[in-house]
This record gives sequence, structure tokens and C-alpha cells, in this order.
Amino acid sequence: MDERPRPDIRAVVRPAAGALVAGVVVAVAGCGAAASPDPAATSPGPAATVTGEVFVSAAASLADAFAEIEVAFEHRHPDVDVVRNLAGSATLREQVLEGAPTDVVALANAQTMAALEDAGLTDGPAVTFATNTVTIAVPAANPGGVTGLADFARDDLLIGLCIEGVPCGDLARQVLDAAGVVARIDTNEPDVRALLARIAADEVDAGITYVTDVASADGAVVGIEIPSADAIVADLPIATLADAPNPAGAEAFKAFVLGEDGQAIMARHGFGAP
Amino acid sequence: MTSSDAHKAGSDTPGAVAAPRDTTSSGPGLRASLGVAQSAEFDLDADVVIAPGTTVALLGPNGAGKSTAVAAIAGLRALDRGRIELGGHVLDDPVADVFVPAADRRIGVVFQDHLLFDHMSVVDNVAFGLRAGHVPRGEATARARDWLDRVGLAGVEQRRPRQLSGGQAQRVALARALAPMPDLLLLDEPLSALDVSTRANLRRSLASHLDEFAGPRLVITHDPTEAFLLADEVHVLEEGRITQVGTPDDIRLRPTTPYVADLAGANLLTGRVRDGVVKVAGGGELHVADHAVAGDVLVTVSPTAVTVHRGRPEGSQRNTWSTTLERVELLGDRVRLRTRPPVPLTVEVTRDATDELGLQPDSEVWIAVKATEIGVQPDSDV
Amino acid sequence: MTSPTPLPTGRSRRRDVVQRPPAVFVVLAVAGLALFVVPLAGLLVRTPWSNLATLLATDVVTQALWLSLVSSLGATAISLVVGLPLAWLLARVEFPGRRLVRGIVMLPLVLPPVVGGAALLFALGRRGLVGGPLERATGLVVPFTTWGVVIASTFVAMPFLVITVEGALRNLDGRHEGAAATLGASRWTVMRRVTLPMIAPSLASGLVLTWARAFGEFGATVTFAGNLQGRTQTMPLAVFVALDGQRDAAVAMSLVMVIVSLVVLVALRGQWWPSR
Repeated sequence: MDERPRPDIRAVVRPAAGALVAGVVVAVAGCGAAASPDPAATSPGPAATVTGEVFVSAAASLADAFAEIEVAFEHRHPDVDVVRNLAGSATLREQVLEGAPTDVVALANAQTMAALEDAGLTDGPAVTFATNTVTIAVPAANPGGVTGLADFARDDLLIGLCIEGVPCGDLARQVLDAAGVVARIDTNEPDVRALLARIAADEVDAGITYVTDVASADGAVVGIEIPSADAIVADLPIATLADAPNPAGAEAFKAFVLGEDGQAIMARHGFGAP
Repeated sequence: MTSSDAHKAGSDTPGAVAAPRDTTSSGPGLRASLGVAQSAEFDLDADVVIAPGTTVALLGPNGAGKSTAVAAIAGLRALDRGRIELGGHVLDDPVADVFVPAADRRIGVVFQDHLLFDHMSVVDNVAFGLRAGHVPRGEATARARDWLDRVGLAGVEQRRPRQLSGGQAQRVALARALAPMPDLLLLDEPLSALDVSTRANLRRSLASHLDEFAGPRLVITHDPTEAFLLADEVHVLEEGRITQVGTPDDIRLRPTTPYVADLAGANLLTGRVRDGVVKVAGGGELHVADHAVAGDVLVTVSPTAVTVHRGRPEGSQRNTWSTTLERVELLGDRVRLRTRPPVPLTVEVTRDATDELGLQPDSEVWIAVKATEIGVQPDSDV
Repeated sequence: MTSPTPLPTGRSRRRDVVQRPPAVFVVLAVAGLALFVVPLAGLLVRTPWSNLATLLATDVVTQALWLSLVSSLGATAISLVVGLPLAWLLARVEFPGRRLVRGIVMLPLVLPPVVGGAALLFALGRRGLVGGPLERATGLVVPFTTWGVVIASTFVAMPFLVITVEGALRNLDGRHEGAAATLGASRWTVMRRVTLPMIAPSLASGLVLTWARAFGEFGATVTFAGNLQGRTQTMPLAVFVALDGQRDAAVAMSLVMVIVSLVVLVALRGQWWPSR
């Protein structure tokens, strides 16, 4: 009775272990193939030398602009596949700090990037590639009759901001402070796109988003300029990472964004020049 | 099987099927004409009349329709045809569109699996019917305790049903059914789930509790012993129809169907009689005591009324013949023999006798039956 | 003459053989357990034990915990009041479209919570199917309120109660209810004194499951009710927000949630599964 089970287990475990080992080998080989740097592409050279996957982590406010940049970049470098990872700048920062493999990081303000620079995770200092300002955003019909920042103190309106710690949220609070308005906030959205969606759906009466977000909403959202906002401008930094899986691809992408084509796309989406 | 002392003597004119006890037509008691279309194959069509102070047993094999009858009388299902009247009140009448739901019928039911409420104490179980009838808690508990005492279970009040033995649980179930003072007591296979010794014990106390109950009582069972010992009158239910009605003795000694004959262990044969001689179907002749009967008849012989001999027996018995044994079966201390034609019979003898005579299959034997031990009744559709 | 090695006594040897599970089972079971234990261990290792008290003594934490408890208990209560009759109907009444209704009730179990939250917006949001007329008639807006959190939690958690209770009612031996009827009990009395007590263990475990689901709810809440400290920011939301930038606080709050959950679940160790 005791003898019988043992041969059965061996019969099961051996093939299973074999499959497991084989699987690991394949995975490692695959990763290795993707990660191995191409010795010929040490600098942003001609298009043909850049290949593989380029993993780009971009702040939520860059969603539309970087979508267009991805298409243009892949057109320029047909052997490249750009993978976009969009989230709030703070989330992206935490991801990189925890070691998520990324080639390029483009954030919505400089302070968030500073954390990565200070940790030595970037390949050299970050470079500002665009600027952005905030604006009041209301649903197209403006049901709350919002005209300026003062309306944010009204109790009868539903007001939304981004959470603190996210560039959009910090900027909004700076602007409100500067105007001396105590806002009656009803919700703090995790990222600016979520806030934009709420405004576009007419679930809140007003919020503070980037100018570029209003532009991307295709008319569902209307912007109301903040006079004092001119002084509060966000610098958007971009950096390649020191342990990027595809350093050649990373450099090429960063160069593209900073180059003529990239800048034209950014401008088209409402961003300011660096 | 002997009748218990609790029985009154039934009518036992030899050869006659006993008529149901007459009841005053509008007096209290149960008058039920049950018609239930169970399914395409099965249909219940049975009449039951029970006078107050009488116990009727509905005896039948499983699948005969007993549970349907219980459900219909208890009000857990409606009749398709017929009528149920209890104590002069109509409980169910499809034609007149009258249906009194179970909760409003005053019927106490004791179920086969006792169906006590496990999440309540014993005394709360017994008091349940009273509380449901809006009797205040204190009074209900007191009366429940009283009933528990009467069924001999004082002291287990606070226990849970699962802590009781089968016999105790069934007694609690009886107390629970009786506590609200119902008009009819309905017992659905009350002893079937118990082991043999508990069953024997409980049977006696159950018989006395039934006697104390003033209203009509109906016992549903497949066990003939239960029926014979508890009931004044037995209705045999087979495949949805009542096939025989009578006192326990009638049923036992003069069965009219093979099922009943088997139950009582009697031999049941058919034949044609003239002048006291029955020509048995299948060959053979039997002399019977009754010379008045003629024509097609049913013949019954109790297995214990037959004697077995090794040689031709002498004596007064009018029926002797030689044959061989087909089967010898042991049943505890008794032996049941089966003889071969001309008149195949089941015979019951003691083990000692079997050993002494050296009886085994194919033994040559002489059979003897007294004419007075042979029951004869006209063969008719009952 | 050498004496043989004494065999284990007959009883213990037999017990050994019968109770020892196949080794493969043990390996797989341990792997399964590791899936739960390793992340918990990671959490414990990452916990900033030295300043745990200061991290937890903030408004953010106390308000979030309070909201979580209130909304999860509220969701459980509503699930009971509304879900029990629904389970009853599904189990006991043959009505047309019953299977469809059951499928709809199960839907929140399968839908991603965020989708559930979006659907709630379409229904109860300011411009929603029901929320729109409601706002125009009474000025009442459900999102961005604590009630919104309760509704979102109820939406995702109630199916647990309905499924558990329906199952229990189906498995109930109906004969006890018949016996109660013959004793004169009205339908309400039968339900109150017989049926409900008989399904009490299942009902209890259903309530615990419901509460647990509501307590941990995130997606539907953040999508429908929004995120505002003190009004709609439950613990899961607070942890999510804190993850970006105040990781220590996030870990501390996660620990609190784990402890609260463990306390509740362990306290019900005997009654976790309905007993026969």
C-alpha cells in the first residue's frame, strides 16, 4: 500500500518539471532577444538601425499627442513597435521606482521627474520637451453657468479636480490658492483623463484640466481661460532610462519627440514650446 | 399474529367481507372521497370513512398512493376529484371550489421521520402548534410540558431533537401533533423508521394514546402488524384503489388479493366449489367445511394450519395428499416450506420438526389440512 | 534469533494509510497557499513598523476606515432587505423568465467593477436614465455622495447574498414547512419560525461574503461615487491614492484592511460554511 504512490508521483513530476524548465528557457531567450542591444545603434543614427520594442511611459495628458507621435515614429522606423503606457505621472514614477522595465518616460511636471533623476534611474538629466498650462474646463453646455475661478467656491456646483500629488492636481491647487479661492471640491480624480471624462459626460459642473485636454475633448468640453494661469506653467520633461531594455530605441524616440516632427505634433495638440 | 386487547370484535361471518363500521351520516368524523390524478400511470381513487373514537389503518405497499392520501387529507395538496369532510366541515371540494389550506385544518399529523424542528428545544417543538394558534407563551409551554409528561418524556424538555433516540423523537412528534387538540389524528408510517425493538415498545404506548384520542384516527402503513395491532378497521390500498376493507381478522384470515395474502402469509388459491369440494385451479381437490358456497371461489389456507408427515397420516383431516418439497427456507426458529402440485402450498413448521423429519428440497412428504382450516369466499371484485 | 523491527501498531498504521493524501495534492495545495501567503508576507515585510502609529493616526486613515465600515455594513443591510425576498422568489416561485432574472442578478459577479460603476453612472448619474429625472425633480444627485458609495457596494456585493440564500432554500427539505403548516402556522409564521432558522447558517455565511466583497470594493466606487476624503474615499480608494507618493501610508492602510478582514473572517471560523 505504501509502495504504489511513489512511482506515480515521479511519473507526474518529471514531465512537469521538464515543461517548466523548457518554458523558462524559452521566456528568457525571448527576453534576451528583445533586450540585447544592437551594437550598431549606439547613437540615434539612420532609421534602419532602430528595431524592436520601445516601451514609453507617458503622462495621461499626453495621450493624444503621443498617439500621433507613435504612428509617426513607427512610420519612420518600420521595424520598431512603440508600446505606450499611460497613467498619472505619480503612478508612472512609482512604477519606475519599483523597477518596471521602461525605455522612455515623459511626465507632466518636473518635480515628479526629479525623483527619478535623484534616484539615478535616468540616463542623464531629463529634457523639457513641451509646456502646458491649466484651464477651467466645463461641459459644453456649461450648465453651472461658470465664468471664473470664483465659481469654484459655490456649494451648489459639482466641482472636480485631480488628486494632490499629480501635476494636474498640484497645479490646479496652486492656481486656486493664488486666486484666493477655497474650492468646494466634490471629487478628486486619479488622473486628468478621468476628470476630463467626467466633465465631458456632464457629471460635474467644472474642473481644472490642462489646455491640451480641453482641445482633445472634441467639443464636449469648453475651456475658460484663467488669467493668472499664465504665470503657472508646467514644464514637461522627457528622459530615457539608464537600464532601458532598448537604449537605441529609447534614444531614437526621445530625439524624435524633441525633433521637428515631434514638436510640430505637440504644438498641434495645444502644448507650448519648451 | 394475535389481535391486541384494544380491538373490538369485528364481524366475521365466514365468507363475507366485513362492511365498514356504520357511522351516523352527518356526525363528526372523517368522510373522505379521495380522487387525485398523480400522473399518467397512477391515479388515487379511494374512499375513507372514520367515526370518532375509531382507528382506521390504510395499509398498502409503497407506491400504492398512501403518501398522496396523507397529503390530500392533511391539506398539503388539493384533490382533483372527490370531497373531504371532517366533523361536518368541508375541507376540500373541487366541484364547489372549496379548499381549506393545511394551516386551517385541525388535523394533527405524525410523520414517518418525525420532522421535529432541530433548531428548537423539545418543549418548543411541542408548543409550536399552540403558539401558532396564538396561545400565550407561558400557557403554551405549560401545556407542552404536560403533553410531554403524558407521552412519558418528562425531563427531556430542553434537549434538542437530534439528542433524542428515534423512539423518543417519535413520541415528541405525537405530543406535538396532539397538543393543539386537533379534530383528526393522522399518523404517516409512524413506526417505519424505528428499529425492531423500539418499534415493538412504541407500538404499545401508541395504541393506548390512540385510544385516548376522542376523534377519528388514521394510520397509514405498509406494515401489517402495525395495522393489525393499532387499528379497528383496515383499508387495503393497492395501486390507488381500496381492494379490501375489514377488521384486522378479516384481512388476515380472509384476504382477497395476493398482496394481502402475502402480507398475512396465507395461501390464496382460486377454484370452483360444489358440495363442499373445491376443484383448485391447476389441479387438485380440497374438501372444505362450508357446503353452502358454490361457484367460483377464493380459497385461503394459513401456513400454520398445514401439517407435514413422512408417511400417510391417519386422523380426522379431510385433506391429505403426497407431494414433494420444492423449497425449504429458514426464518429464525421457523421454517417455511413450499410444496409442489397438485396443490402448491406454503407451510410453516418449527425447526425442530424439520430436523426430526429430515426435510429438505425434494423430500417426499404427506400434507394434511383440516377442512375447517380452509377459508372459502366467493370470488368477486371487491 | 534476531527480533524483527517492531511494526507500528495496527491502528496507527491503518490510520496513516487512510489519511495521508497523495503527495501531488500536497504539492499543489502548498503552491495554492503560497499564492495567498507570499503577497501577505511581502506586505508585512514592507510595513513601516517604526512609525506605524503616526501613519495611521491621520484624518485620511480614520475617515477612510469609517467610510469603509459604514458603507460595507450599509450595503450588507440593503442586500439583506432586498436580496432575501429576491432569493426567495428565485428559489420558490416559478415565473416566466426566471432563468434570465437569475442571470441578471449574477451579472455583477462577472462584470468588471469599473464597468459596473460606469453602468451605475448611466443609470443614476446626473444625466442618467433615472438620475436625470431625479435631479430635475428633486435636485438630488447620487454620485459624489456617501449614498453613492453604498449603492456601488450593494451593486457588486448583493449577488453573493442572493446566490447563497437561493441555494440554501433550494436545498431545504420542504417537509418541515409542511409539518409546520399542519400545526396551524400561517405562511409568515412558517417563514419566521421554521424556514429562516433552518437556513440561518447559509444566510450568515452569505452575509459575511457580501460584507467582505463590499468592504474591498474599489472599481465601481471610484467610477460612480468619485473620490473625496470624508465623503466617498473608502479605504481601498485611500490606499490607491496613497500608492503614488505616500507608499508607507498606503502599506499601513493595507495592513489595517488585512487585519480587519482577518478578524472578521476568523471570528466566524465555525460558521463559515453552512453546516448540514
